[in-house]
Formats: sequence, C-alpha cells, structure tokens
Amino acid sequence: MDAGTNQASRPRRRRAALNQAHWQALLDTARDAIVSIDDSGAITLFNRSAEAIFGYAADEVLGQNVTLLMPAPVAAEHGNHIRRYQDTGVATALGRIREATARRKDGTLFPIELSLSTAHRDKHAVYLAIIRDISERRSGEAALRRERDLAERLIETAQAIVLVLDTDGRIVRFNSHMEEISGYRLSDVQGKDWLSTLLPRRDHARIREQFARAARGIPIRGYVNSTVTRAGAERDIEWYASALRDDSGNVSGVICVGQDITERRHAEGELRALQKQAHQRERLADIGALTGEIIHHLGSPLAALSMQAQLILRRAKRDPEQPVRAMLPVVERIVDEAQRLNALIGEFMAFSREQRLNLANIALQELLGEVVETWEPLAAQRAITLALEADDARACVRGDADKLRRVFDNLVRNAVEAIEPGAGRVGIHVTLPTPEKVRIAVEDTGSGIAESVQVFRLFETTKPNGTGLGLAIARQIVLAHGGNIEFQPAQPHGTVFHVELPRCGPLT
Amino acid sequence: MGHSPDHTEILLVDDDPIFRDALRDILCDAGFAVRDYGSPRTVPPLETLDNLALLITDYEMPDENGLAFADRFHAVHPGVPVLLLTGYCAAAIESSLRARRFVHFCVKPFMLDEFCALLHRLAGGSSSAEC
Repeated sequence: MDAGTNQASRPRRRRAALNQAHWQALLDTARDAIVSIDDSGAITLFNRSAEAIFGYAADEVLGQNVTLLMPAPVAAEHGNHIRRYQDTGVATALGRIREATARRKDGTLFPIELSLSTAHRDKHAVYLAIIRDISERRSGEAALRRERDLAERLIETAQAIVLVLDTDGRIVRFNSHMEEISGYRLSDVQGKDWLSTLLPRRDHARIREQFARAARGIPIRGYVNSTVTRAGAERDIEWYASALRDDSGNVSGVICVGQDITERRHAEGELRALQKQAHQRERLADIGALTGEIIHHLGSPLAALSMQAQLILRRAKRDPEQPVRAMLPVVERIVDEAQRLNALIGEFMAFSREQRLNLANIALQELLGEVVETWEPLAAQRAITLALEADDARACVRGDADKLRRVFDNLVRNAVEAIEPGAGRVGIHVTLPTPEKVRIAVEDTGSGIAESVQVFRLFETTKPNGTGLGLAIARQIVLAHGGNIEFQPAQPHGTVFHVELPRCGPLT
Repeated sequence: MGHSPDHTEILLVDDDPIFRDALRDILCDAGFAVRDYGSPRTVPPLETLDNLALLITDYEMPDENGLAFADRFHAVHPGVPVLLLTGYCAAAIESSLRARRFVHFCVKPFMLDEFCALLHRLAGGSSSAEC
C-alpha cells in the first residue's frame, strides 16, 4: 500500500500511522496469503502468511512480477489478462473465488483457492489477491476418493453379492456379482421391492421377519434362503446383513452380503451320499460277521434238538412197548432247548430291529417303577431288596420308552441274577449331574464282574443260559439316545452300572 | 480200526451239554462205552487213555477248537480215528480237513442213520446194536 508522500498535518499523520499499524496487524494475522500488485504486475504487498505459503520473504518478492508465484503456462497468460482488463474493463477472474495452481519458491506447484479484487487509485489499478493453500484439503479429498474407489472396486470385483436395501426393503443397489447370479441388471429392479422381486413366495413371511430384525439393528449371520433368478431358477444364498445408519445414528437401510452356496450344498449332498454308501458297506460287513455268529448260535440248539428227537424215535422204534415215562427226560431236554432257541430268536429280533427311536418325554421314576415291579417277584424269592431312589422325582428324559425300559429291564435282571443265593440288595438311583443330563445307577451286591469279561460285546456272557445279547443291545440303545453306559465295581462287592442320558434326547 | 472187545470206548468232547447228552445216550444204546467231556481242557491226559475206538469231537469250542485237539490226540493215538462234528462252517475248514486224512467229519445236525453208518465204518460196533 502506498504510504503516501503528501504533507499532512501532524494529527492527520498520526491517524494515518495508526491506520497503517491496524492494517499491518490485520494483514499479518490473516491465515490466508494476501498479495497485492500494481497494474504492471509488480508485487506491492506480501503478508506473513504469503511468506509462509510461498516460501519467499517479503523483501525477496516486493517489486517483482507476480508471475513469479505462478506455474509457467499461467504466468505466460497473466500479462494478457491484465491488459485485457485494462483495455475492456472485463475481468474474468475478479470478484469470485476460484481454484488455481500456484508455485512455491522451491518450484513445487500447489492448489490454491484464490479471490481477486481490484481498486483504483489515481487512475492506477491496484489488484489484491487473497490466497488459501488448499493442498491438505485436496489430499484429504483425494484420500477419500481413493478409499471410495477401493471400496467400489471391492464391491464390484468381490465374488460375493453386495445388496443394499432401504428401510422398506426396496433395492437401493447391488453389485455386478448379484447381476450375474440373479440375471437382473440393477437398473431393471432398482427401487423395486426385493422380497417380491427376487424371493420365492413361500419364503416371504420368514424373510420379512429376518429383514425386520436387521432393520432394527440386529445383525444377521449365515441365514440361508433361495433367490429366484430372472430365468426362474433358484439359488441358495447364505446372507450376512447389518443395518446402515445415517450421521445421526438412525437406520437408513440394510446392507446384505451374500454367498451363492448352491454348488457347495450340492457337493455336501454328494459327500453325504458317499458317506452313507460307505456306512452301508460297513454295515453289510458287520451284518456278514453277525450272520455267521447267529448261524452258529442257532445251529447248536437245532443240532441238539434234532439229536434228542431222533433219540426218542430210535428208542420208540426199538421198543414200541416202552412207557412214555421213560422218554420224559429226553422230552424235557427238547422243551428246554426249544425255549432256549425261541429266546435267542427273540433277542436277535430285538437286536436286528431298526434302531429308529420313538421319542417322547418320559417320567423316569414311573418307567423305573415299572421295571422294579417286573422283577420284584424274582427278587423277593431270592431275598433281594429292590430299592428305587430319585433325587428329583419328576426327572424327565426325552427318549424311546420301550427301548429304555428294555435297557433297565436288562440291567435290573442282571443285577438280581448277579447276587449269589442269599440276601442282597439292588439299588436304582436317579441323579442329575448337570441340568442337561440324567444319570441312572443300577447297583448290586453280587460277586462282581471279572476284568477279563467284555460285558458289552456281542455274544459275551458269563451266565450258563445267557445269550450275550442283553448288554450289547442295552448299550446300542443308550448310544442311540446320545448317552453312555459303563460299569465299575461297587463297594464292598458287586457292580454298579451307570447310564447317562441327555435329558433333551438324542441330537438329530 | 477194527472193533474188538479191547477197543470199545468212545471219547466224546462237545461243549453243548444237551447235544452231548443225547449223543452219549445214542452211543450207549449202540453198545459203546462212552467217556464224555465238555471241553478238551477237562479231558484227562491223553497218554492215560486206552482202549479207545474213536474220538468224536465238536469243532467249535471256546477253549480249543476240535481240529487242534484232534492233532494233539492223533500225536498220542495215531491209530484211533477222529470224527469231527462241525456246524455250518464245514466248507470253511474243508482244506484243513483234506490235509488230515485221519479226520472224518459230520455236519450237525445230522441224521442218525447216516451217522451210525459212519460210526460203524470207523469204530466197528456190535451187530446186535441198532445203531
């Protein structure tokens, strides 16, 4: 600014000096660079911020042409702009804020926001520029743009569906993967109701429910449903969804990421089929081994029966007068053997019957009470006390009542038979070791089980007339219920069998 | 292999008591003296047995199978024939049987007429006996 050279009065000079001090303070505290030039383009003012932004000291640039602060192409045009303004009074740059590029002392270029104004003094124009360095803002914007581009590219290249719905369930956008899978272009269905456009009618109710949850801000993880393509085919999509929120935290829509798992499901199905086949082959092998055992077990009594019957026949032929009484011991053996054979067949039937469980809620106390009643007469005969105790009389378990009754029938019968002639006790005790499990202990005061006996093995028996099937069947039933059966020696003597069952029944 | 008064005793080993009882009765009816046991383990030391006309042994027994027992028996009494009673497994042990010419076999359950014919062939037997 021109300090002026006119002769003024002292107070006027003083006022002018104060004025100048104010201006200087104002200029120096301004955050923006303030530069003025005269109509020849020479710099006449260069404030502190200008020094900081451009890297020049004011002394270096005062009197220099302002093009010093411009990149070369702009600098070349600058003189023309000023001349045109001076000639025509038409300014292209004056009076508005625009973005431009400036040059620092070190030659680097940087983005600026520039506002130009002009004033006239003694017919000479004075131009004033207020310049703001916007490189940081620009780089922030560029970073944001890069992030947005990256996100956009991710969305478009990901082999996953990205779908955005508004809070009413209308399609806001989806990515090209969704276009590929669904056969719809986004422009075909944008703004349409997602549910009625892309989902099978049968799923509407349950999906609407899921969508409402997501729109309330509850994330959805791994929810699978079908999507109907434009061609009418159905694809299984596994969805992960969460709410989108605006700046004030209100839900503005739902973003869903989906994976087409149709093929995976198909492959899983095939794998399951293969596993089933393998399992069936194993079963066949087992059945082969089992059949051999069964033939042996049925063959022996059959041979004995045949032998006994032929013995009677021979004796009767040899001595037709022989009294029937003389035949009685042989006939009795035949009857016994036929009974043994019959029992064996019954057990085989039970073992071979399909292990499908008929599940119901079972009151254990009641079921065990029936078992106790069944064996009470035999126990009483042998002076054996049968005692049923339950920690929780209402303990329930989900299971197959007939099959579980068979398990405890077997255990209680074994317990009674394990006690040598003389008094003894069989205790049945129901406990709940955890809220999810029930444990039934059947304890006898018998002679115990030798270590070498594998009681749960098929055809393993220590009884003279045992089939070796009872405990094998019991174990199979307990395992089918998702439970466990084991035994241990009881104190001071005897055996205790523990059956543990999940109260909610077998996992399907 | 001839049946003489010195060789009239049959050694019978079978783990099924009902079958064994019936067979013993049949053999006794046929005039044989029978010593029967439920397991090769309970048979007295083989060297102490004499006057044997025949060994009849079951094949499938828990302690020792009939073939192994027959081998042990044959080592001590090479002149006494062995009749092995097999269940339905006869086919499975056929090659083992072919390798032992002293072992004859009979599949349970068998018809007594056929059995007795075989018995006479192996152990002789009195003509008065009906078996």
